[in-house]
Amino acid sequence: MIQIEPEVIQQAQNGNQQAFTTLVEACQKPVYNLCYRMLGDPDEAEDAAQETFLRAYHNLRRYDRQRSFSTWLLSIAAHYCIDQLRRRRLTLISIDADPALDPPDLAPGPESAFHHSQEQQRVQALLDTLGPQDRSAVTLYYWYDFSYDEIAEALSLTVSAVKSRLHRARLSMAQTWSEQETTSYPTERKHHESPAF
Amino acid sequence: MNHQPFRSWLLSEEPLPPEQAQALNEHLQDCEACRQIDTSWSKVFGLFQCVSPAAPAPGFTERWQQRLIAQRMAAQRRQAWIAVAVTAGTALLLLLILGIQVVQILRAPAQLLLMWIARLTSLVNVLVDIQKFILMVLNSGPIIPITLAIFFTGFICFISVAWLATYRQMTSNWRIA
Ligand SMILES: [Zn+2]
Repeated sequence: MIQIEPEVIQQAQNGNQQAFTTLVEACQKPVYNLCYRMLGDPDEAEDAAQETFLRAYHNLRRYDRQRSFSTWLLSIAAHYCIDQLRRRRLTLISIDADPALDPPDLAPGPESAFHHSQEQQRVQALLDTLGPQDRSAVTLYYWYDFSYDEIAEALSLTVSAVKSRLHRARLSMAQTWSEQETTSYPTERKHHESPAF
Repeated sequence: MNHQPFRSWLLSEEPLPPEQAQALNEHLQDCEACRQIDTSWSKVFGLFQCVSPAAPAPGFTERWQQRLIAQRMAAQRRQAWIAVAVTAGTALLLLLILGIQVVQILRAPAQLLLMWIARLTSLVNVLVDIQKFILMVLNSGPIIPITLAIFFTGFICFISVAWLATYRQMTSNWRIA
């Protein structure tokens, strides 16, 4: 989880630009990762992460230091991404129409990169089947170790709503996985069996 | 076959009481659908654990700083445009009013002159009426009876003398102190 000195937050709240830059440095990866898991596109994730920090910068005075800074910041990112996904639906751009995701270059070797990108794509394909709020709940639960209370706080939901959303999301992803296994296995086997020319 | 509450137990991440765990195991032995959900979820969970977090391209902070500067400049530009628009709007309004007046003068200059002469005449008439009223009041004799006037004059003189005496006493007391 993100570790930030309370003094840095206080300095940033008092208008210290350098202190806020330190916060951006410290939190960029978790914020970007959340946006990437939510939106599934590196450019959109970059844009959303940048926008998150701009919103945090303009609303920093409203941040209550009694609460966790990372929860507050990731909550801004999650809400922004949820809005983006809803807007995407409104503009009738189907999520399914964009299956070829381009994940960031994370691993060094080409084979490893390929494997990695396949895994990333599979994760993203699973997350894409979920609604915006379920997707953010799953991301915060599995990649950020947020508790039910923290997710509830970040997404402005009740704890029971978080639990039921997570349950529904698990079932949906498991069913999607089963369907993918049954439909993709024959083609995968064919690929393996066919000789390389 | 009814899969509830087994699906809830299956996907629950909280530890189950022994009797629930046993009932779930028994159900899984008989139910192919729930067994598949169980296997699939385990694979999904395994996949979640093996993907590393995505990271932004290098230079994220610099790009953010540039974006902040661009946003500030855009806000300043917006404010400048608003100021220009308000000034131009006011100037246009004033020009419009002026234009209407000029058009009126140009359309009927004689009528305008006559109107102003009429206004001036009525003003002079009002002044003459005021003058007449003052003269009438002055010629109608004293308003206050003579005895009352004498009484008032005497009273004011007495008050003035009393006030002067008090003032002197107060100032001399100060000197002694
Ligand atoms: Zn079952």
